[in-house]
Amino acid sequence: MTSLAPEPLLRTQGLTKTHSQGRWWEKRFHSQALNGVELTLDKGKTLALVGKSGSGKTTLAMCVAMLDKPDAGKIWFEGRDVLSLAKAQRALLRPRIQLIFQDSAAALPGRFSVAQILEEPLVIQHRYSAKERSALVLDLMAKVGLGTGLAIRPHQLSGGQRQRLAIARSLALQPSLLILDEPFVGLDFSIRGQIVNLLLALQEDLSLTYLYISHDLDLVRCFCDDVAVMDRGKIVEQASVTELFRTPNQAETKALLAPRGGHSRTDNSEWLR
Amino acid sequence: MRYLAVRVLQGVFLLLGVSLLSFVFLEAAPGDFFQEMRLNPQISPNAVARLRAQYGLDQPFPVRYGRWLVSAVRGDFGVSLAYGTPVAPLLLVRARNTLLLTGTAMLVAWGLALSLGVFCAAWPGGWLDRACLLMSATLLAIPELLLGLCFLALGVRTGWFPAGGMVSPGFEDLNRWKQVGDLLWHLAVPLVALVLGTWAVLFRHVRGALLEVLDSPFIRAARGHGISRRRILFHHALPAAINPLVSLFGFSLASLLSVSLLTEVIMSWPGLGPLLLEAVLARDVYVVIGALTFSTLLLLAGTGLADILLFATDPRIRSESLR
Amino acid sequence: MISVTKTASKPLLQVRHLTVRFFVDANNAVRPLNGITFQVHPGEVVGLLGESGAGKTTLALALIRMLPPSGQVVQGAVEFEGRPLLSVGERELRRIRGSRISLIYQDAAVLNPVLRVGDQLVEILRAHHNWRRQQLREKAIALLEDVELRDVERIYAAYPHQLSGGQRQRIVIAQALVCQPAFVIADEPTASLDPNTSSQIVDLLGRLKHRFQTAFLLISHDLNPLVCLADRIMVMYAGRIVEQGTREEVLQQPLHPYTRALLACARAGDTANDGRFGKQPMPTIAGSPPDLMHSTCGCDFESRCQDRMGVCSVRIPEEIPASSSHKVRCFKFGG
Repeated sequence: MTSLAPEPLLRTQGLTKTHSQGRWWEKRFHSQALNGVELTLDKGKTLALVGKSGSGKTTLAMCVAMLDKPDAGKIWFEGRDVLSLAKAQRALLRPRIQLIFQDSAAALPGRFSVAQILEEPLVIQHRYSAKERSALVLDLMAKVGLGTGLAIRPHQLSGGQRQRLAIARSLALQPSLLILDEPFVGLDFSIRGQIVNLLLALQEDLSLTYLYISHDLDLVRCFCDDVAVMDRGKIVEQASVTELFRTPNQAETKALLAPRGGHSRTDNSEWLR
Repeated sequence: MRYLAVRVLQGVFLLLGVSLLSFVFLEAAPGDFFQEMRLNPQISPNAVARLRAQYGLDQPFPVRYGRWLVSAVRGDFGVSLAYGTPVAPLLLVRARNTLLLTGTAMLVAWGLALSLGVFCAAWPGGWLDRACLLMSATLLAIPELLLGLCFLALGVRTGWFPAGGMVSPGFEDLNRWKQVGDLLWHLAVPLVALVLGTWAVLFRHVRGALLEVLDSPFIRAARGHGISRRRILFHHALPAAINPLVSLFGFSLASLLSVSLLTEVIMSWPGLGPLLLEAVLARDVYVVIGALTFSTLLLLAGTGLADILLFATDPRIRSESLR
Repeated sequence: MISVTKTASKPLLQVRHLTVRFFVDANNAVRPLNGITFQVHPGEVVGLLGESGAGKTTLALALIRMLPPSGQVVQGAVEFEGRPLLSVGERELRRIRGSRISLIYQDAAVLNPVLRVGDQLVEILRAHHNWRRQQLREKAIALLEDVELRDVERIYAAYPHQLSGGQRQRIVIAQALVCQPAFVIADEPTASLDPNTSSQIVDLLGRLKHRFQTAFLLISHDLNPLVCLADRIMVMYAGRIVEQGTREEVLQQPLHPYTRALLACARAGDTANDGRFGKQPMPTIAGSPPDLMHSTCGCDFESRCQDRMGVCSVRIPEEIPASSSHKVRCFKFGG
C-alpha cells in the first residue's frame, strides 16, 4: 500500500451510539447499538455489512447517511470530517449518499406518480428547467430499465419495478455512495438477478460505491468485493470476499457461514448443485 | 404508577387553568351582579358599595382569585350572590341531576350503538344495515337543538310527556315505584333528544371499527380454522375492536356533557346547564366559576375512566410495562 | 426416504382441472389458476414452487373455499377423503376446516392481538370438540410442547406481541396442528423469518411430519424448505403446473425451461455453493411474469423462454409424463 493509494470514500472511527427508550418519568432502557465501529469503504467498490438482527447494521447506515447522529466517533466522507461540518455544509453533502430500502413500497410516496417521484429530487436541486427535467426523468427510467408509463402509481408496480424506481430516484441526485439496506429480500429469484445485474452495471457506468447491508450471506459472494461482519455494535472482521469465505477468522463469522439446523444446507447441498 | 401521578398532575393543572380563565372572562365582561341595583335610584350608591365590599367584590382581581382558590381547596366554593346560599351544595344537587340525565343517555346510546353496530357489521348491506345507516345520516344532519325542540313540541302537543322539569309537583308523596315512574316520564324527552344525536355518531364508529377488524388476517384465519361466525363476532372481533371504541368513550362523554347543558336549558331539566346560564347572565361570579370547574372535573373523571378501561381491555397497552 | 408404497395407497386429496377466476367486472377477469391437477397421498409432503403471482396462495385458499368474494371456481373438482370439497355444505365445510384440513399462514398477523395465545388454541379445539375446559387446556399445552416452545405455561398466558417472531410462527403451526388434521397447507411458513429461525422452523416441520404422519402441501418460493422436506415438488407458473415429480427428479433433472432457469437463479446466490467468487452478473429470467388479466393462446412462459418454438405461441401444451412420476408441460417433450 503506497502513499499514493487513493483516499477511501468513507471511513469511520470509534462510532458509538446508544438508543434509549422510555418517557421522562419511566425507567429508561438503554441499548448500545454501536460500540466503536471502524469501517473503511473504497471508491467504486461494494462492501457488504453483514451480521445477525440487532447487531447495529441499520443504525450504522443511518449514521453514515447523516440521518442520525452518533454519540461519539468520527466519519470521513470524501475526505471531509462530516460531523464537524456546519449544518449547511452537511446539507450539501447529503445528496451524495442515498439509501435504498428493503420495503420500497413503504419508501415511495403512494400518492405520487412515477414521473412525480423522479422529478422531485430534480426540482429541489433548483438547477434544471422544466424541459430539462422531463428529459432527465425519461433518461433515468431508461437507465434502470423501467418501461412503465409515467402516470403509474407505486402500488401498481411489481416488487422488482418498485426497486428500479427507488434506484432511479436515488440516481437523480447523482450520489457517489449508495447504501442498500436488504434491497433484494422479498424479490422473486428471477427478478433478484435482474436488480443485481442492474446495480452492477450502474456501478461500472457511474462509478458508484455500494454499502450493502444484509443479515444473510447469500448474494454477497457474487455482488460484493469486501465484507465486514458486525456483531453487537462492533465490526469483528473485515476482509475481501474470497478471504472471508475461505478463511474466516472470528467466531461470529464462522457462525454466519456455518450450516444451519439439523436438516442443514450442506447435508442437502447436493440437491442444490 | 408514575403514569397515574402524571395524569393527576395534568388534571390539576387543567382545573387551575379553567378556574383562572373563568375568573378572567368574568372580570373582562362589563358589569357585575350589582349592576341592576346601581341603576335603581332608590338604593344609594353607598349601599351598593357596602354590599360589594361584603362579598369581597371590591378587592383587586389577584386577591379575589387567590382567596377563592384557597377556600376552594378546602371545599368552600364561595357564596351564590343570587341565591344567598353556599355554592357547593347548590352545585352538587344540580350536578346529580345532570349526571342522571347524562349517565342514562350514555348507557342507552352506547348500548344501542354497540348492539346495532355489531349486527350491522356482521351483515353489511343488509336491511338492518341500510336502515341504520340512513337513520344515522339523517340524525347527524339535524342539529341537536332542533331535535330537542321537535321532541319537546311533540311531547307537549300530544300530552304524552311533560313540558319540562324533573319531577311532578307532589313527588314526595308518591311511593317508591311511582317516584321512579314519574322520574322516567320526565326523563323521557330530554333523554331521547340526547341519545339520538349521540347514537348516530357512535353507531358509525362501532360499525366502522368492527368492519375493519372483520377484514383483518386473524379473523379470516379464524374462519379458516372452522370457528363459527357468531363465536368469531363476539369473542374474536369485538375484543379487538374495543381499543378505538374505548378512546371514543372519553370523547363521547365530553361532547355529551356539553350538549346536555344546552338540552337541559331547553327542556327545563334542573341540571348544571340552566344554573350556569342564569349565573352567567346575572354575573353570579362564584356560581359560574364553581359550575365550570365542576364540569371540568366531571370531564376529567370521564376521560380518566376511559383510560382505565383502555388499560383494562387492551393487553397491548397493559403489558407494555411488563416487557 | 420415499416409500413407493405411499403412491400405491388411495390419494388423500385429488384435484382435477381446478380453474379459478377473479371477476373484476362483468367483462374482465384475472385468471390465477388454470387447469390445476395433482394428488396428495397420506403422509406425503408435496412442495409447490413458484414465484409471486404464480397462484400459489390462490390455490391454498381455493382448496378450503376461502377465496375473496370476487373469486370463483369456474371449473374443476377437489376430492378430499372421498368427499367433493367444493360442493359440501357450510356446516360440513366448517367441520373439515381446522380439523381435517388446516392452513399454516406465512404472516403471524393471523394471531389475534387481544387474545392470549393459549386461548387462541383453545378456541380452535372448542370449535371441533366438545371437551371440558381442563381437557382443552391440557391439549393446548401439549401442542405448545410439540412445537418445541419452552416455558409453555408462560407462553400459554402470553399475548402475541410479547413473543418473538420465531415463537409466533410456532404458535401459528400449533394452531394448524391442534386438531391433528390429515392435511396441512403450509403457505410460505418461513418467508417472514430470518435465516436462522427459518431453518429451525423447517426442522420442526420435519419432526412434526414424522410424528403426526400429516400430509403437507408446502408452498414456498425459497428452495430450502422444499429441499429439506418435500417428497415431491410441483412447479407453478402463471397459474399452471408446468412440472411435477419427485424431489430428485425436479431438482436434479429439471425438464421445463422455467424450472431450469428458476433453479439456476435460486442457486446462484447460495453461500454453500462452492463456486466462483467475485462480482459477476447473476443468472436471471428476462422479462417479467405475464399479466393474468389477459388470456393467451399459447404457453405463458413463451416470451421469456430460451427454447421457444413456433408452436409455443399457438397452443397451450399438455402435461406429458416423462417417467412414471415425472410430468412436464412443454412442447419440447411432446404434447
